Amino acid sequence: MIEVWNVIILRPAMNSLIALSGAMPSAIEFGLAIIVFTIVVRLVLTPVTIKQTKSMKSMQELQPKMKELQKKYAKNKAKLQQETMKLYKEAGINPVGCMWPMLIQFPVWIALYQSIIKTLATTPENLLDLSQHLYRSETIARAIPVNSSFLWLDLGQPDTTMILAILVGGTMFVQQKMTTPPSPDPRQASTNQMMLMMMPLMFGLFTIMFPAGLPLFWLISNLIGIGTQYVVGGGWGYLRRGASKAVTKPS
Amino acid sequence: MKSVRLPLIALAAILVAASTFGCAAPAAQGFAGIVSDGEHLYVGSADGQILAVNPSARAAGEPFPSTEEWAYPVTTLVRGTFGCGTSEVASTLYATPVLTDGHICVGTYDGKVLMLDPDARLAGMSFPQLRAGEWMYPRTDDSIGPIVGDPTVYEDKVFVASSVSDRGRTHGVVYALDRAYGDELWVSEHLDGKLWVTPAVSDGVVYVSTFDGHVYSLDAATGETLPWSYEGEFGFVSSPVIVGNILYVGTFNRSLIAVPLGAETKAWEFHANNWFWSTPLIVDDVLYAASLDGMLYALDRETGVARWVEPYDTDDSIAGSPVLANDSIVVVSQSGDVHVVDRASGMGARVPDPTRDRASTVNAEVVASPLYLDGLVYVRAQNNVLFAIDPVARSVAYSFPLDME
Repeated sequence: MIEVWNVIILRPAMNSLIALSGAMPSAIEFGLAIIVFTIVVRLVLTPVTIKQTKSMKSMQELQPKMKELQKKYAKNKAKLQQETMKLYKEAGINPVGCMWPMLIQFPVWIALYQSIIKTLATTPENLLDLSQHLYRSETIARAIPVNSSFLWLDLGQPDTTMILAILVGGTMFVQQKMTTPPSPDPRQASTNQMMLMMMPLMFGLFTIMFPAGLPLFWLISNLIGIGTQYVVGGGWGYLRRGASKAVTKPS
Repeated sequence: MKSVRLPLIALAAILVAASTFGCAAPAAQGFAGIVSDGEHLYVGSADGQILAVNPSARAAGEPFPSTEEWAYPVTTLVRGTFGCGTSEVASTLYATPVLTDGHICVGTYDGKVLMLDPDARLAGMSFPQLRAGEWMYPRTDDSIGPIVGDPTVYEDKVFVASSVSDRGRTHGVVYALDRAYGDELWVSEHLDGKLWVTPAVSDGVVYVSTFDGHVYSLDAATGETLPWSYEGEFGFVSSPVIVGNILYVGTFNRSLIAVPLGAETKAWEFHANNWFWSTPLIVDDVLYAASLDGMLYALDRETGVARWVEPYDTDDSIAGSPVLANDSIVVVSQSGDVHVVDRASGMGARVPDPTRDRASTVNAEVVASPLYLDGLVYVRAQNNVLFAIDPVARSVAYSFPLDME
């Protein structure tokens, strides 16, 4: 199973990343390669991402109607389920279908994640392991080992300056905020608020624990996610609406 | 409640998948080899100990430590994630200990060089016993950067190569230390690229090969970078070895090259199907080189022409250097198979006989180079067990867990 994964997904991803690294300016080669590779992968997955974003948007638009149904059939769960499915059908939404784009992206992200870690070869064991995954190519041989320096970062070491942690946490917060609708239910609102804070904090913490190459990938991924959401979702979404609501509330 | 559960389940799934597919970088484990003074074996264990092992006592199955045996844990202070608090943890050892003037020199991955006195360690005295010739460099809690290659002792100096990070860039640095007291004699200028190598010394000149594809030469007395350097088309993966004015080194282009010292071009290049990770063994005019492609090659030292009709195939990768055992060459594959190969013909066999026993010789991963002593081949496996292999009887004579207190 692992060998199939390695041959079909991991090795092509790793070797592409290394080859790309070899084509970049030498001082910042691997950092740029991660950025370009992340952008390319996100572009390839754009149709899937757009489909997912639209599905989520449609689901959110149905929320008021869903609330009405929940209120109306609070005591009849079977009827509620029946009416909910009917609502989805009328709106042309497959609730399970919105999970598929996420599942398709999943192995790609794992492969990218794994490629970065393996390619950086921070320990001698990693470098030894890397030898078993490389294609026979002079371009790849020339690019190995990759130069792990990028701007102020050593991509093979955690960033101790906290700058990357703040950027990763901040962009993750913005991306989540754009897609999280304000809830009239105080309990739900408090839960949403907790999740909005928890995920960026967790990834901020991961950033100071993992080699900086990975947080760089998260940062670029978040930025592209924000861009996609802005274009497909039509603006800043709930980031702006939430803010304006908060400002206008006292009056 | 549902909205809380979903992201948490998704996060848990990511973490499970990540750990299943090995996304997290594995921790440095170390693969220090074995050295011997003819009576004892000195080995660096996977849990950061230097052990003096008496082969007779181990063969007899006596409890450890027996006569003249000891274990010294090499530790380092580690700061917490947020810089709060420190804890003492076992050092990681990649460098094989080196014997010099009755002492044992050790380089650690956390950037320390130690000189141990066997008598002081046997007596269990605190380290370092300066009167016994023990020292540690640096003497403070500072680190000189990860040491992966072995220290090299030349005349009254110890040379070690390490790497330092400076403003996001990694540079190689060579240190020369006084062999008797551990004083810093000189520190080289920053060399391009990581240095995970054992420095080679010849005629008062220190040679190091870098990941960036340079071989630098330094004056052993002053540390000054000398005018001659060799620039390869590809980075260098192995440590350099010098025999008879020719330097041999493995490249990231799956080749082994021979460069005459002082020359601008290589004398020859031999290609394999993977890297020459370990340094070759040179006996007379033949160079025995093991590759991660699983082959053991015998090459003419002067011309690079293959000496055997076919290279010896272990069917697995070989990370450790070959060793000479009488008229045979012994190599250990990464999956733990010991192979004994005839020097002249290149014909060999696995230990034990695969037709009788299909399990690998030591049944554990092996990266360190083996050692041949008094008719036995000693192998330090990654499961932290020392194996003694009888290459004639083609069997495991005994094994000894190195994490035994």
